[in-house]
Amino acid sequence: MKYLGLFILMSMLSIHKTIRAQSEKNPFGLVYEGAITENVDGKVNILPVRYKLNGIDIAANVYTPANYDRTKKYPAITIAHPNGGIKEQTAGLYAQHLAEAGYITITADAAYQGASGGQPRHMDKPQFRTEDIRGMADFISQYPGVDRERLGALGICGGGGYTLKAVQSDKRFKAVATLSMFNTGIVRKNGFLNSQISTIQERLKQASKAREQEAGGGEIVYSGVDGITDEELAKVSTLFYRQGYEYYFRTHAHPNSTFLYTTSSLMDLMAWNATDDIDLIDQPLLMIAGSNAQTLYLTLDAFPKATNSKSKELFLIEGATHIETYWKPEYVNQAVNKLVDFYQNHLSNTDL
Amino acid sequence: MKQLITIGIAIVITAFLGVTNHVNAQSKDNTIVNLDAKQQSIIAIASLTAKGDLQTLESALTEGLDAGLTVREIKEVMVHLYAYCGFPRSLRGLRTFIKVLDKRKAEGVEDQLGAEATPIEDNRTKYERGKANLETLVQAKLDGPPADYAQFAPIIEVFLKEHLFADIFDRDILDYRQRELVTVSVLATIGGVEPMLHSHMNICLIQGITPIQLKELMDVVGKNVDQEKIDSAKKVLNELLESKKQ
Repeated sequence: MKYLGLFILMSMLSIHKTIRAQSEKNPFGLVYEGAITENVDGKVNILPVRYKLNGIDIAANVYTPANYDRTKKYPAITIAHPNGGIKEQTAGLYAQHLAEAGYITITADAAYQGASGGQPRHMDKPQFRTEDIRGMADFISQYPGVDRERLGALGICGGGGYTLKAVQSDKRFKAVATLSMFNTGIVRKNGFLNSQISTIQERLKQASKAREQEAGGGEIVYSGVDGITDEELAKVSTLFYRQGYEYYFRTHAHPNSTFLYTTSSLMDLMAWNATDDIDLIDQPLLMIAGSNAQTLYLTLDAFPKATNSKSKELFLIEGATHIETYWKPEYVNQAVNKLVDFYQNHLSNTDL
Repeated sequence: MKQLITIGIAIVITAFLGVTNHVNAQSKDNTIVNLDAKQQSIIAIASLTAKGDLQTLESALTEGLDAGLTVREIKEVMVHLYAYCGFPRSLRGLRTFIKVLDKRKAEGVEDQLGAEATPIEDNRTKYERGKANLETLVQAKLDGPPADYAQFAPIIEVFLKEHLFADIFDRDILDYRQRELVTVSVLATIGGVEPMLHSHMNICLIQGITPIQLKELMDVVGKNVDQEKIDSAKKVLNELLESKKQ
């Protein structure tokens, strides 16, 4: 990681990882603060589930509200995790908080990632990530006690971009929210903060070459990082990336979480944009981002383009950076309160 | 235009409520003062009418008039609540009220008749008006799929919008807050309607009634209904407040 955007070709190096005691401490492998440690009657419960999506085995966690009664009807929310993230990190934190507010929530590891199946590992193609969100909707709609008419979506970081895409055409979702939305397509194409516009064609060639190599039965080529030394971390100048590495490789590390993705995925990513066809979103939309987030430009770009949303709101968390919205209690609480208000308004079943 | 007038009135009322709330916000010993005498009377009258306890209702009506409720405001409480517990209870309540007024007249008490409802000058259909009123009540757009009951029996949803939320709610003798206090009181009194109680308590909160005021409402209603019913209503309130807490 000499400088941002350095294109790294690496085989599956197993860089020395920090001891990941956190995930081993929690029986469900959860690494976020205040995570459930046991399922107690009358409180929020977590249920690890597995289901098939297009032939791939998906690993997900379902959270049920306190005093969950399968004969009642609850609104439900799907939560899509960030790039490099997994269901045990911030996506789980928000899933738990929303369950505390009375929602049945589900957060699934992306296909080819985390504890979900699929080969090659760490494939990160936008069409699959979008499909993952629909898969969560498929599964949770059938779950006992879920009111199918009251399904909402939440996407965090990259998951936010894919959520915007999923709800453009999936009208099972009645309310849509993003947190620190990251439009992976345009970042992979243009570089973060448009820092790599001059190398677009070059990088597409590298991605194509990687695919050629895979097709020939050769080694899978990876981009990104799978860990970072303290020396390297100290040299990362972009705050967003530095805080990201601290989150994923230090404070909230989990063996299933990695920043690696197959280089050939870039062929799909770089030609994809979360805001293409965003005018198809007619559902209520809430976009939340930190006022100090370097990724804010991505939310500010997408929000005005959602011209057909019935009611849309941009909510900035004063002082928060992108990664701080994942874990910092004061910011998480603001986001959760806003989300609960939003979902209550748009997924409420007003019995008169 | 009517909408503007309504908004204007709402603003005036809100401003007025704001003032009274501010005045009432703290008493000498720093405890929060919540429901005022008029609100307490509205709640008691609604609850007793819904229950059909006409004898206790008589004294509640007397207290309401003494607290400064006008004759038309009390009549409107009786009119409003028929939507939630039926004409028979409403009519018996109105008859009881006639009796109370006659008695007071004989005693030489002059009760304030109060303002009549502002005539409706609104070109929208009743359905549109009702939907708009309901959207104001819940502070959300109602563009989602119809509720299960509405899909099952569409006419009931039309009646709700056109009649309850247009015909009745457009009568500005009572404001939305007062109407919702009546509704929650009636629902807590009749029992067995927890989902509706939950929705209307939530509307109360949206309309600026505080959690403490709702708890006090429970205490007022609790005097008139059996333990099981009030416990159930309090449970609904606690669950609602819990869901708002993060």
